[in-house]
Amino acid sequence: MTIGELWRRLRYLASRRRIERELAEEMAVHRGMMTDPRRFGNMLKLREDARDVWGWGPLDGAWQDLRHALRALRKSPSFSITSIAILTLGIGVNMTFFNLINVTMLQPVPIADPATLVRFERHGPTFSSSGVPFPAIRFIREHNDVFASVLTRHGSDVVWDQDPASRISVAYVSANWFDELGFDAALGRTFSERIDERPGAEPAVMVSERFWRTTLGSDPTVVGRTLRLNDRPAIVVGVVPDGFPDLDLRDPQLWLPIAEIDYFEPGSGFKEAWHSNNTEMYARLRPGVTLAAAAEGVRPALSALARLHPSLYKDDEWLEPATAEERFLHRRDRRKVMRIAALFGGLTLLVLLVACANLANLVLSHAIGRLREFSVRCALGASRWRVLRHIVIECGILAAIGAAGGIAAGYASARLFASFTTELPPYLDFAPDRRVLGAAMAAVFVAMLAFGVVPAWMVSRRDLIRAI
Amino acid sequence: MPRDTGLPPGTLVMLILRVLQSGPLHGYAIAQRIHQLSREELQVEEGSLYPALQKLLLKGWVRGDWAQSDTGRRVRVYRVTPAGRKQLDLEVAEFRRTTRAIELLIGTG
Repeated sequence: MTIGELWRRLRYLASRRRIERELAEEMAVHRGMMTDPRRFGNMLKLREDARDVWGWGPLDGAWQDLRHALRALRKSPSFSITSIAILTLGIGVNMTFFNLINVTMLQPVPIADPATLVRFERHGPTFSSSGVPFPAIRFIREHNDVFASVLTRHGSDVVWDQDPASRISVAYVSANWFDELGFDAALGRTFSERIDERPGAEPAVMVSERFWRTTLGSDPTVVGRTLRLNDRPAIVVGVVPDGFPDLDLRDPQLWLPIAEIDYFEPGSGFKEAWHSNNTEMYARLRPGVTLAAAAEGVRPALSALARLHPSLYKDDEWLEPATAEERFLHRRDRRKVMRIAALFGGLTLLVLLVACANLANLVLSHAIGRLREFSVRCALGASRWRVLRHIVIECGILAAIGAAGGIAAGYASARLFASFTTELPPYLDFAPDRRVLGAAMAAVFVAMLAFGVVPAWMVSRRDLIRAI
Repeated sequence: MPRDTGLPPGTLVMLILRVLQSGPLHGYAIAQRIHQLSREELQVEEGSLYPALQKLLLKGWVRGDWAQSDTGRRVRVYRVTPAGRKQLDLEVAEFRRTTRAIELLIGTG
């Protein structure tokens, strides 16, 4: 089809009423000129033949079917509502599960530029550890040229003198933590290398927005206030906004500079613990450095460590990289986790199939009850395909509404689930993304196959003409 | 589809373009002209004339304009576009080639 032809087709669609009126007029004139006008034939039929040339026929038919199907569904509300409820439930269960998988494993960690933020884990032929000794990280940072910056984190808890009975979860982080992840403070400032990592810096603390709201009473003058943590004063410098992902689905209430860890935990020897895999290691890669290049780039530093501390570091160990984009899951781990996820996904899909099997019965009995209607349509000239298409379109409408309901139900129940379990942080965003929509489409497709096509086929195989 | 008396299949578009080459005509006149020019051998049924004309409009080979007929009625008059002229040459050449080949075949038989 040429561009001109497409253009004329579209123009036809836009002004088809006028064009069809003109065609009718033209034909009437023609018939008037004939010596025997009866020979002209059925004008309606001729006009339809002429209209088909423009190629909008199938679309017209689909539009008619759609309107007809909507009318038919409105006419039997109990059937429609039951079907939609079954589908919403069936698809909703699947969407709940998919949402949880999506938010915790498929979506990139919601930080700035997740592709270049890499977590490193310590691996050897016979061991692996998610942490790296703090002094080793410092050493590697000084001895490589693939990192733009290095981020460190150590999860712990502290005692707050206002509430000595419970321990408060904290994260000791490098001062570049918030800047590198692309988050600003909701109130006050975030940690800064210039202020919080210089010698003799005043011990600072950042509080989570939730902690600020629930425990500090949303105090607007919180910045500058002193909290006593582990019996040591720390000055609140800022509030961390809700929605800050502390990487890897965690939810600490306070953040402290890792440079001050000896101050808050005296005698721990944390910074010189060459033997303890006590710190999570992240790095921002320099532009253009690939994961493989990064793993290779830290190798000289590791060899140097093995020479410095031969009893603690071996020459055959390595640092295994994974980006925030792939949720810090190494390919092998990801496969393992995905297999389990697929198993559970299969189970929820079974729920949908069972729901659809029930629905198929409902659709079939509903269709059988309308055999007369179908027969009349056939008798009036509808093709078998047209009747079948009508049933499929009806089911498609039900499935589409069910999918919309399923997405909404999945969203709500995933949030509910997340609020019940302490394993998931509250900042997870379950808003449907294109993956969720894709999964919903897939669920609809499965559902349609299961409950729409089979009954339609069974009905269309009957001798509809004889059913009158 | 309605039968067209004496009309080889696939030639209707060519015939319409051909009679329009000598000047713009309305639908009835096109059918008449084909009938006359073929010494009443060929007859175009309305059932195929109008779909064919719509197709020509779609392809951009003819243009339709409303005008007054000799008897004072409002009629749609078709005229060939440059693209239609090119198409006519193409189809005539193709038709000649095919008929010559068929003649050859029948002659040798």
